[in-house]
Amino acid sequence: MSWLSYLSSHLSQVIALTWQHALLSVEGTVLAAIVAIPLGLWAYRLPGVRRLATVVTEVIQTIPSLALMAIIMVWLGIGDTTLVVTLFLYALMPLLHNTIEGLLAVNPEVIDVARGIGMSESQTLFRVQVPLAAPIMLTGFRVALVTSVGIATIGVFIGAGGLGNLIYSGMQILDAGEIVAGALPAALLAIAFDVVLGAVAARGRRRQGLTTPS
Amino acid sequence: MNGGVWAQIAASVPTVGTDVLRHLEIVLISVWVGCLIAVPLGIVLSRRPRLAEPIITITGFLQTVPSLALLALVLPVLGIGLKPAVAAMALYALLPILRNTYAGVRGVDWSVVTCARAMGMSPMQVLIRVELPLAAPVIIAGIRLSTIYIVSWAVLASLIGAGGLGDLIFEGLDSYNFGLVFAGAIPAALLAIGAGLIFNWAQAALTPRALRLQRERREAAA
Repeated sequence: MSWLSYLSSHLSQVIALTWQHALLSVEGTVLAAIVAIPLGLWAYRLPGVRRLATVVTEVIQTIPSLALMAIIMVWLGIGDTTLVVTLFLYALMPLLHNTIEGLLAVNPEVIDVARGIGMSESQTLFRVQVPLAAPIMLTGFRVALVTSVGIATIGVFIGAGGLGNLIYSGMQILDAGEIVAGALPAALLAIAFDVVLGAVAARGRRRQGLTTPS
Repeated sequence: MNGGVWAQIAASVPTVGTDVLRHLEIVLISVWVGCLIAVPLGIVLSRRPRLAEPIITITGFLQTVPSLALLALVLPVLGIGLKPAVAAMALYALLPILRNTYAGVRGVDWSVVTCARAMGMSPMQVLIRVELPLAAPVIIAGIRLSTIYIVSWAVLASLIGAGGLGDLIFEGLDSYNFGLVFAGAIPAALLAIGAGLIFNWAQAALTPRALRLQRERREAAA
């Protein structure tokens, strides 16, 4: 197995690139959460704003990642910043979508009851609706983060760090060992984020006594 | 932006046409092959949940593998060119369609299926006239997702010699030629957005009225 020998001789480099890859992915996704979740809380009950926000982020999401990244590079130049901005833009859609869908999925009767026992609108939102919507919102974060790990691999083409550097240099010299040494940690990183956040969301749903899959 | 960029975009217009066609070819073949395999397979799996669960879990993992990683892995195994690229992308296109077909058919209200059987419909009639129409929005959402992914992937497929709009973008990135970057990126973006709009329309057109009303009620209550 040529990739095992590559991995053992370049272990510290692979670990450093994996760490860098994880940090870049988390950075872009967390920045998007800071924007998208408050936007969703505000927009979910205004159908016009909701539609506009969804359409705009959906259009961004649809654009091929390398195309959008290349266009952003024309303005921001080469490097990590361009990659993080691209990841941010792609993470907006799942986060916003799941925030809105999560809030809309809350049983209207529960909201009526909360208002009926005298909760104010913001109390109802933060103490009833948001906790009930949290597992679905977390699923949005999970999708966004896993997607970010994938997109971050192509950051190499605009001069950013991460595991794409190993994959691409392996492709150029047709070294399967180097390709696998980059591709495997990237795949495992995505799967690890997916499994961990999935388990957290499942635990949240069990606590609420909900069994519906999201 | 200076005049030079526009001149470069204008200069690459003739090749943009062939690159767009090649791009469309890659996307249509991959998604079509993906549908042909994944929709029937999803229906079969929905009848055998115990067999399906591990398969659906595996497709979930496969879907998280970064696109560049999978394309790079195809390179040493299948070689360079259009066929290896399409094979890799058809395989990837399978996954969202399979998951959504399975989830869509499984998600049909059990009592509706029982009613249909009680009315005397055969299992085939129930599938074609009850389950598939009710699952259609979810299945189309899967095909839409696959198509948009593959439009994006096809850009990277240029790296393994498949051609398409990625040729222009990579050439532009390599030579720091922004005109070429735009000449490839803008049609690629428009292609993906256009595909998204077509599927949105198809999804709305094929959503049964009862499901639409259900959702409208929910939104009105919020």
